[in-house]
Amino acid sequence: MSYRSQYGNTLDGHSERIATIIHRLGRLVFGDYGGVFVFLLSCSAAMVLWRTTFSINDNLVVANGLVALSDGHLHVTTPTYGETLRAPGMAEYNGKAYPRNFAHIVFALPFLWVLETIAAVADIRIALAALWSLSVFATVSVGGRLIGRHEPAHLIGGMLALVSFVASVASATPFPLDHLAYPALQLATIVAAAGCALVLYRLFSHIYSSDIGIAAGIASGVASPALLWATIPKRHVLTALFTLFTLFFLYRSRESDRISMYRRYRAIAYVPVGLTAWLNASEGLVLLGALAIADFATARENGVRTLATVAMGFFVSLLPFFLTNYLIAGDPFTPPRMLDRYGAGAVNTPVTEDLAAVSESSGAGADGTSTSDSSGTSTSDGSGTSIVNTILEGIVGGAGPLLGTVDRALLFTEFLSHGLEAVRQEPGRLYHTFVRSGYLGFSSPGATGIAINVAFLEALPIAGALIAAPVVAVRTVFDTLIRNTSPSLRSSPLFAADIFVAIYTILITLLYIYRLPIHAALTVRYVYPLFPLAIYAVARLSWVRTTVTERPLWLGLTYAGSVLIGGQLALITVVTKGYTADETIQGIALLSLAVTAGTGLWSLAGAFDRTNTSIGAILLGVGSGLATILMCVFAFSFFGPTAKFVLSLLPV
Amino acid sequence: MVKHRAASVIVIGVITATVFASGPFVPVDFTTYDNPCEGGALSSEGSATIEPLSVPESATFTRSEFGAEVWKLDVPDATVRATDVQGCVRLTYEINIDTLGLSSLSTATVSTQSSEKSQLSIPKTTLSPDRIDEDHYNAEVRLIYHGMENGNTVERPVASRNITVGVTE
Repeated sequence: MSYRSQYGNTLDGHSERIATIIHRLGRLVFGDYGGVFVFLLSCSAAMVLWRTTFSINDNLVVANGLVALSDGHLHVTTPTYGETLRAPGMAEYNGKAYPRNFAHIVFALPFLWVLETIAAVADIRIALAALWSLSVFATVSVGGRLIGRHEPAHLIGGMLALVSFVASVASATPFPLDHLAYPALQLATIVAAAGCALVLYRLFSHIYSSDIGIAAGIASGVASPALLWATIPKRHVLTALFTLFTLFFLYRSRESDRISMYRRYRAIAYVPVGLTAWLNASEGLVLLGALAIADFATARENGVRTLATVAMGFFVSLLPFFLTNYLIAGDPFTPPRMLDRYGAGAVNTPVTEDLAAVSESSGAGADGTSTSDSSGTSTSDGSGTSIVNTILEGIVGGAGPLLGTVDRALLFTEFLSHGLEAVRQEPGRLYHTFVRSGYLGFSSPGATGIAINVAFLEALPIAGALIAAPVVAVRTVFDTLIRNTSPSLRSSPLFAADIFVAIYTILITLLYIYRLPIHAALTVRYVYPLFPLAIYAVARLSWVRTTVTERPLWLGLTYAGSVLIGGQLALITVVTKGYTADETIQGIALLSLAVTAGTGLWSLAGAFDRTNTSIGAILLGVGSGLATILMCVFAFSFFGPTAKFVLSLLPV
Repeated sequence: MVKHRAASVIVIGVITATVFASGPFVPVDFTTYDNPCEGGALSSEGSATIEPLSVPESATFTRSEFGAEVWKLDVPDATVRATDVQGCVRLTYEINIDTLGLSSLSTATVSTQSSEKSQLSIPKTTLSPDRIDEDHYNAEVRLIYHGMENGNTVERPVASRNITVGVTE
């Protein structure tokens, strides 16, 4: 053979191998092209609402934390973003300022490296415009593949990408931020939000069919508050992602017959718990509580080997949490939010939007400081007593996880009792959080004074279908009792998943209800993980699934129509009548409530076997469209006037 | 299949090439700011003759709809004519309601590239529902010119009017 053909053969071999690796990796992550489509659609849509300006001021702390970490240290030295280190959320230890939500910071670090590499060879504005154009190209192309029209879709996608890119370059202005940590955080959150959609897709295409999977994925990625929060890098999207991971692996563990798979997936389901604790300790506890209850209630067997594997998975997942806390405060069990607020002399500092920090530090800060004090004295002593101390510390360290868990569990029950008390004394909180928010006169210093908060059902109208969920639950229990088939129900993977979702919902509501409603929550962001979980629950209703499988075209067209035509109508109405941002938001919220009510009624009819798929498709489509429009209103109308959009195409 | 491959190559190629061209290795600058004013967008290092064409005679407080509850202050736009423009000047359009302690303003820059007639509008300000208890308030609207005169920066009111702000439910 000639050199040329030999060379050609080797090249072919290599490229084939690379292609195989990419294929395998793709299959592992995305499952199939449906997953890729859902992921890319969520990313492309979220990028449209991407702004370089800060939306909520405690993003400053996390962004500064990322800058610090990229420079190689945990504490923040200079406020790269914002004027001062005294921003809400910054903790103080030993005179140094420490940020929080470390899981988010570490997750965003690779994105920062990539952005910095790109910035070294290209203009960031142009590069991000290119990223979006290519993302749109890929979305349209893969979408075409799914409907069997790959060729034309590929060409259309290519044209769209080229046109949008050229327009972006023509209207480009210099990128306003010098340090790329904040955009990196946002990019990481976009991926996390798209990841949530992907997990829902994989779960549902696994349980039911890819149609349901795609509908659930699109609902989660584009037709829910994820669209807005994807580019506001608060921790909530990441919390939701971790929760969905746990749900997915819990389901998979109950699904398999092989004990090794069962054991493995059961252990993996505990990994996101530690990661959530690394993100926010109380949310980690909520996830642990929900998982532990659901897991042990539906466990197939609790043999020593299984429990050991599970404990190992759990412990390993907690290592980053312990390590970070140890590096900051010298005590693995003191997360940053238990430290003093930076710049505040006393515990009773003015209330910020994160109330939990104040109550936590007053309750358990004593614990944390005393432990760190003793370790401080032992190192400065340096004599024989330090050996005793070290041994004691070793014992404490060994029993540490147990003691720490017990300690935190006690703290946790404090949260629960707080929550229960709040619900008992002020049931209106539940109403304002979940049903109707409207104008609530918040007097806190960070409040805008206008009604820019919406309740849960106002932000996700399709969740109105869940009103029929109790009917299903009662019926299932009734059927089980009558037919006495409890073993099979208990071991059903869907049962485990449903229990997990139900308990998680209760726990996270109890965790946050005593301080909801609150300003700057926008779409009750504290219970944000409930949005993808609500979509899970809605997809579990059989009449919803029937509607999606029988009338996919109606559903798709109604959704697209509501967004495109309805969105234009809303725009025209707002401009002609001169509505302000808060009026627009509340107006759409009222519309959403109407659709929610309709969806609820339809769902109740469906629960009693009177499903009307046409009405259902229209209601679900319009409800999803309203959710998308509302998020766009937040981004363009409320944040818009003072925002700088990343895509220079947008006329702001 | 060829079309497919060709499309991918062309699109990805063009985009990637432009991205790399925008970087420091190629001396092309795609991102520019269009700013005719020296000293930034809010500079006032110029001069112009400003003639107010219309200044509002009244403003209103209306309640927000759909349960948003807050009072919106609606001030009609003012129009001015600018002639003999040299450089850039700044115009401020403001309203002051002393009894409520409320003032709001907007700024516009007039340069050689702006049209002769400019319209200034004050963005909607809001007040919480419990602040309003009368049915009208007295206010003052002013148009202020920031520019240069004889080498000194001056701030001169071009128009000033006392108006009534009516309250409508």
